[in-house]
Amino acid sequence: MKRGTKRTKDDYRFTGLTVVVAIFGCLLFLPPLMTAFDRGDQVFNVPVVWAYLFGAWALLIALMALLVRRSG
Amino acid sequence: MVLQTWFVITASVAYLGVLFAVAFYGDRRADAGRSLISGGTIYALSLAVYATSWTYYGSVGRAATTGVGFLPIYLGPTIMLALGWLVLRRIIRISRRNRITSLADFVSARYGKSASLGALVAVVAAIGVVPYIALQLKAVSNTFEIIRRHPEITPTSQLGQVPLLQDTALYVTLLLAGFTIVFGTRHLDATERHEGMVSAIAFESIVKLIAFVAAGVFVTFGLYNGFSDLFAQAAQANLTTLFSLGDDTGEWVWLTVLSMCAIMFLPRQWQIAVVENVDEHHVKRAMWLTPLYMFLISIFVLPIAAAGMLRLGGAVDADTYVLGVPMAAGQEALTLLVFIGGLSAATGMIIVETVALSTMISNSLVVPLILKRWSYRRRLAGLILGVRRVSIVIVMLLGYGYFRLAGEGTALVAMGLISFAAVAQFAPTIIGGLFWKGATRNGALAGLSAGFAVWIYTLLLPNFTSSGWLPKSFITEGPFGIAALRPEQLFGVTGMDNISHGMFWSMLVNVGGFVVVSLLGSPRGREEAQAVMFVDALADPEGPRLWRGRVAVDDLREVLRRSIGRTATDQAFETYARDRGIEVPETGDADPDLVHHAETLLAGSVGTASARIMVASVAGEEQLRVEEVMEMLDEASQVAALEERHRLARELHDSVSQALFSMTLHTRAVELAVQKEGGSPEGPVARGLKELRSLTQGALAEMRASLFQLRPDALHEDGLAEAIRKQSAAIAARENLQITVDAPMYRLVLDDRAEEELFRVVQEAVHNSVKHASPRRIEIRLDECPEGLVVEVIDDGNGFDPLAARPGGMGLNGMRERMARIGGELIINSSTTGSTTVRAVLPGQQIGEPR
Repeated sequence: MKRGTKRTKDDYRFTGLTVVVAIFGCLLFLPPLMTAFDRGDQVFNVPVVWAYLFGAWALLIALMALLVRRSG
Repeated sequence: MVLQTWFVITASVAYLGVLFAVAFYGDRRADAGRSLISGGTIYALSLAVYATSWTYYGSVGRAATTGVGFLPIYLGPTIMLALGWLVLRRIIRISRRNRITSLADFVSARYGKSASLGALVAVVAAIGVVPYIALQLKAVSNTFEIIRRHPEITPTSQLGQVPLLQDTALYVTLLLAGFTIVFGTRHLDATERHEGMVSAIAFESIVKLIAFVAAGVFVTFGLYNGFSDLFAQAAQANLTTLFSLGDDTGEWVWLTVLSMCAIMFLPRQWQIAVVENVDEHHVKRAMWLTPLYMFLISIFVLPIAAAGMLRLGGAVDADTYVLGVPMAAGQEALTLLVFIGGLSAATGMIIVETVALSTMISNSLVVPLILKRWSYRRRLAGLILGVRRVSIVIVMLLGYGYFRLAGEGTALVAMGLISFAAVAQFAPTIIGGLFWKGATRNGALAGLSAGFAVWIYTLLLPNFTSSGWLPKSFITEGPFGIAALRPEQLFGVTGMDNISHGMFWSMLVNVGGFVVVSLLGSPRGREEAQAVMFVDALADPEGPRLWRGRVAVDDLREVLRRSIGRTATDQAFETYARDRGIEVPETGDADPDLVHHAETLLAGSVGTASARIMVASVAGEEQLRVEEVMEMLDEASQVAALEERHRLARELHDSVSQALFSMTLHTRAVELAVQKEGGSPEGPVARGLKELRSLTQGALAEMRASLFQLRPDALHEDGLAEAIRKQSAAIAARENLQITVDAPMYRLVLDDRAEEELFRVVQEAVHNSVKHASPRRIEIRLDECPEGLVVEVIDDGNGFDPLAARPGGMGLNGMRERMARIGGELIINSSTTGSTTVRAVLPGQQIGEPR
């Protein structure tokens, strides 16, 4: 059916992009990617895995904030 | 001085007083129509009720043994909230439309308004969550005791059992019961929103964040020189557990899954995220702001754990490091702030959880029972409120009782994750029900009860052994010595921690039972209708009509009055009439829309299953069964019907329309041939042919109009001007009058809604004119002027006096409303002596962007 107004299309795209971010989050937060950083080492004196997880988390939040902002 | 017992008590009571004040202010503002919670920020903050005293104190405890192993509890929600627009918005939309006010009600409504399913969900939630409430009370009681015994820092295991009347947790319980009754059951209302409570919860979220971050900043930058200094010292002391996440990545994955479920399906989260949501766009704010909150509250967890291990070591329970480290450093004011933060985390959780549970217990357990036993013909409003209040007190006292009975062991601490596992059992039923139309009530019942049973066996019962309620041999040797049935190594599955093990088995039988039983059976009538409505919630702009039976308006009014009160009922009827621009008759049968509206109103206060029973009792059982079949056909075959109509339209266009068109051409050819052969143009043959031609032309026009109506999307496919042309041609042919359409040949740029409303206005105006003015000629003009789009319908029939016209007569009001809805206006110019002009003006800025 040809009901696609601009608004529903935007909404559809926004939903799709947020799902992509969620999948990206799973990728970052779950093994095997996450375990690669779990070496018990330190970088700049802080634990690598701690720095990695919080860095990835901040990135995810920023991405989501950006998407929400763009969608208005 | 600051940590004197009397001062701590005063500060705590003062804090709770502030909470009352915030809630009171929030309710006052809501009553005055200036809601505090109309912005998304409050919504996002109140969602942080997720962070309870269990995470406030317990995260540090977990970090001390597993390093960043505490993080999945916060990472899962981040992922789930990222899916918020896909999942949460859908749930909110459905709940709003059906006035669903609890999780149990949602499940019950999805699976054909099944009362038994709703009751099962309420039982699972209550059993899963009451120990969690106990855990919060334990945190309050323990931390208070630790402060009371300062400056010595007592390990929790040595605190012992405080005598009942000296136990702070008892007084906190009583105060909170009071708070929850006042702000959680202030009135019975169709939406079940509690703005005061939400404001207070958002306030609590801020307090606990400030307290925890203050402690973190003090530890990291006051006691040490920032993160690197602190971690360097920890590395020197060889505290290696802090630098990894333990050796079990399986546990990490399961915890992430668990917390993804928990952020949605814990009763308190559902209450805040779905029931208390006032605008679904607030979800967008929560999608990033709530994760940011969790980020901030957890960034200092590892540093505090490191500092605690460096300074206090194993002498103090790691669960109380947050309190212990500032206390050991002599920071009395900060210690008090941390205690208040913990108190706010505990109270926030208890308040919302209890409100959510009491709604479930009253709407899904007690009221259906009452309705089954006794007829509904007595006043329900007071009764329901009474049931809610009593269940609030019972839930709180059960939580307190559990805390006293479970003792001071590790049993309660483990209950946090076990609760998460209990509510995770809802995930297959709810998520499956949202996206899969084939999911059935029996499937949901089978999956949920099997998952719940396995949860009890593998997680709850083993927990009882650490409270001493079951012998230890139950875990080590299995029941009756059967090793295969050892609850934490079921059928010999080993190598997993107890949560992963319990989740593995419970999810296996839950998802398995749900899918297999659903596939083996098929949804019955009502279930199917509900399934279509839930799964297609976003596509379908209007709720389906659920009632076709004859229901007297009087009866309906009476049912409503009994359950939501007289004034609320009258108000509801008034708004209903006003919104639709109609009069609700005092007597006679109610139209299906009104019955449906009444049912949703009832559902708001008594739950969907009970509302169904009540309306059914006035609608008459006999008619219902026939209607059920009708409905099933109606809802499930709607799409099929649409496709069928399209096919029909296409075929008619290709066959009959074409034939009619050739007929007009041939008739014209024969006419010319007759003239050529010298036939008289006034002779009977020529006149007959002329008549025949005008008839076929009329038939063709009529056919085109019918085709137009067969295709519901025709208006948007053809555009406004073309649609009006086709429609007018049909009317002109049918009514034997002349209609000219003066419109631009290009397609006007309008959004769907404006197109629809303008088309209806023109249709209505032409219809009026034909019916009342008996015109010979109607002129329709579409024009883009500087003032906007102008549509005029002018006839040469008998006019009328617009001032004297019956108000609401001739659908004039309807047309006016249509224009007002799209921001335009309608001007009617007519007099009793001459023609009538209906002029609709849609100002320029209303014209949408090009497509």
